[in-house]
Amino acid sequence: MTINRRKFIRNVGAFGAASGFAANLGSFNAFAADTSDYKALVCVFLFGAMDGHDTVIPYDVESYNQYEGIRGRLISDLDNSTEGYSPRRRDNLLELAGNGSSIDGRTFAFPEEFRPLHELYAQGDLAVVGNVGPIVEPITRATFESGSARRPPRLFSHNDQQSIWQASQPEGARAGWGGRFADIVEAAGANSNSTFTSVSAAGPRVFLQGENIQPFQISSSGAQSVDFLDVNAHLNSSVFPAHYRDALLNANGATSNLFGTDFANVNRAALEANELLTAQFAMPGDPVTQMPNSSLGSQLGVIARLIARNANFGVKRQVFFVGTGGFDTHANQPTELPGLQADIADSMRAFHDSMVELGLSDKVTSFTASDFGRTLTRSGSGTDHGWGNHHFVMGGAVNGGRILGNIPPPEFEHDYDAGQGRLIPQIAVDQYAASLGQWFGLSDSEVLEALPGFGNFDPTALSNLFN
Amino acid sequence: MDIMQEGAFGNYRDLMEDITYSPLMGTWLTYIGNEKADSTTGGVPDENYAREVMQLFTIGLIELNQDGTPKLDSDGQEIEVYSNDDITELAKVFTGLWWADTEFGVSLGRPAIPEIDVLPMEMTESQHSPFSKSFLGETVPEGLPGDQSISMALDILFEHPNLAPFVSKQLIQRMTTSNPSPAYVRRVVEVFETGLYTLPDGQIVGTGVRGDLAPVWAAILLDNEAIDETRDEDKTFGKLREPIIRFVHWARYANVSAVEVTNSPPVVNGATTASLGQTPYRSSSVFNFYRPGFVAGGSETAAAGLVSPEMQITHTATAITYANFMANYVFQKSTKVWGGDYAGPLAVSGDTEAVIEYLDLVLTAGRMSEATRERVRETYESVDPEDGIKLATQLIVMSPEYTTQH
Repeated sequence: MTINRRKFIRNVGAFGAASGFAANLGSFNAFAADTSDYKALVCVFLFGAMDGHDTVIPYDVESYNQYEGIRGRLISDLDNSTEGYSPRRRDNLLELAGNGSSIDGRTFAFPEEFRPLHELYAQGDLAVVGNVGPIVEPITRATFESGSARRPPRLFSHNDQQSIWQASQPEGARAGWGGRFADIVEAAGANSNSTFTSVSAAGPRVFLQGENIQPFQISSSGAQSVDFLDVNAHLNSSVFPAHYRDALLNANGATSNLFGTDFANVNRAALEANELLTAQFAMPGDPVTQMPNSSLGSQLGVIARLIARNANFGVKRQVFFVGTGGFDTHANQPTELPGLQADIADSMRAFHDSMVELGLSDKVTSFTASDFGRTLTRSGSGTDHGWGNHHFVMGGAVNGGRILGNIPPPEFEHDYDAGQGRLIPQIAVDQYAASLGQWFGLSDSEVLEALPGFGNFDPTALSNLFN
Repeated sequence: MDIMQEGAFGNYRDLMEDITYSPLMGTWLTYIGNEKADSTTGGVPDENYAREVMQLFTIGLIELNQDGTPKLDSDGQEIEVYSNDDITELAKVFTGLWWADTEFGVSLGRPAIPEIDVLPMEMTESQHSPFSKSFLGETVPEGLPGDQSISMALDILFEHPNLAPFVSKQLIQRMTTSNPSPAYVRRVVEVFETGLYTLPDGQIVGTGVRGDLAPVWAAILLDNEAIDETRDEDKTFGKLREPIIRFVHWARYANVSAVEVTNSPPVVNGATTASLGQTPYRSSSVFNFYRPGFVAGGSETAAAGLVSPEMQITHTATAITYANFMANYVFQKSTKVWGGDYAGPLAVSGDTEAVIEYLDLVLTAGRMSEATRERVRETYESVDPEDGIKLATQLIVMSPEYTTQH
């Protein structure tokens, strides 16, 4: 059994000052991870930093006009991009309607490219979490500028902020929170085979790395096989196939060098896991929902194929990572970003639909992450590096159709402006991650174990994220 | 690429200048056509190049000691070299650059001039920010013409104390070992600073100008840490070789000649199930194919506290494609790949052991393991030498002895 932390907090009432959060939580944590049913988390990483200002767009007339005034040609350049159609003009935006969709009377909208996700928002399967980013403790413009609040290292640097999002530390971090979640559910006995507990379709990513769990990097083309291995003879040599296999496994290899050992271990893991995949993928069970033919669509497609066979693979808890790039729109944002947004929306929607088809939509939660947000200010035909950003959480378990967190007004020098509309995050990545971890079945102490920084924040900020 | 080739043995300051004015870099990092701030529209200069020229090309993010280790403050924390204010200021420097011999105007696009991609960008003064630019505690004065502003800004970066350790350590990582000792870095940094290196025979090389790269290469390759034969016993020394280097090594061994990348689609098409895992000229971002600080999660090197940059593109999704890519070439399974000839090993006189010794010398630098030798021996002897040498080659290019150097 588990105690739902939200209920606990509700029952107990208030929480203390920032430093007291952890102590409060630490007092009631006798429960280990609940892994009785199947659940998966899917991180959709938007490399380069997607412009959240241009995705969750101010919609009430006053805010829109302010926004339009600041963004200028980033909006007007899109006029008539399709005949008679201006995708960033207010009339063509898709309003986020319903309870919980406005902030202080201000309303918001998605661009047309996000229509597939707008439909999910409307039906309650997608939530927006506003102004999320890495912070060390609650911080405002005043405490940012005075330096009195601690801040994460290496702000605005792509590689480091990608790492901090995934692992709370700059480049070189050794384990991420997805991997720590996986460590915890593995220890709780969720999976009888750990090969596919933690899987990336986007290469090695520290998000998935645990202290113990070793992520598998899958090819979006599916199972891979080594040519000339499963034959009786190659170039007439009957001994070659067996020796080639041994070479790939580095059988009897007395590699003294750590780099050589690492290389051999990668080959061995690839060969063994792909043989498992080949056997499973040869059997029926793929979802029939068509995935977009993009990199992101293909990555989510292979993840869907894995999820469909979770019982065969012996897994009840999985964490996944997919990603796509091109969001670093310093220039040509009006021509570059809409297509990328369409890809996200089409791919994530198709993935959701395939989970519905499998009857697993409330067991699989996907969420976006990105290096950082971007400036509200325009530079040329693009925008620059920011900090906080708006994100999306999708799945049948999500209490969607609402905006959690905050979306500051489209203006400068408010309490959460680090300059030029680089948002100072109001929801810590630790808070965002913690709510996902709670849904995943982690106990409160396990959430803190995976996310030590969470203790510095209000644990209830996203308490309505899941049904 | 041409700039790198021409400048590899020149001065680092010249490389900085040539790269900054390259319209390809200008396009990639979006500062070609970068305009000064426009107070009527609120537009500000693009920060892209200002950020990456500091973070990636010259000084990095944190203050460094001359041995490449991070400086720490009194709380034991790393010290960041610059803030975003420095970036915003430096961004003003890189305004006004546009294609050569062409009227400035983003809407005009890339001009149809022959070889425009290799003609240095030119300055349009009216688009260059007239304001002063203060960054890293220095100031490029108000009103200084654009080219002079860029020159002064690059001088400031070049003179920064981080430059030599930041650049030198990464050059070492590319050439000899992923985790050089601080003392090794310091020795190379001293050569970078003085522009002089004394060869083992006493001859002095270098121009004596700070940033001269020729003596730096010599210092890296001839350093005792790199050539000491006891290094073989040090499990932490060395590096994984990146895929393109492994492939080129095979091509040289197999006498592949008249190579045109464009006539061998598998090399440039990274999306196949038999791809190398590193497509020449196509790193996915300015952060290159892999990062110098990459730690391969869960690996032996990670457990030893080591970075292993090349492992970022060597993982379970690329391991099998690499095997298939190499087999495609070694066995020349398609007309789209370059065939090698194996005249070298086939000309070896003597028995199988002599052939193995040859292969060990040219492919694994005398480090072929007993297990690999045994596999090679049996396989080579199972068929005629023409086929046997190909099979042996494929076994070797998949061995850790071939894919690493140490």
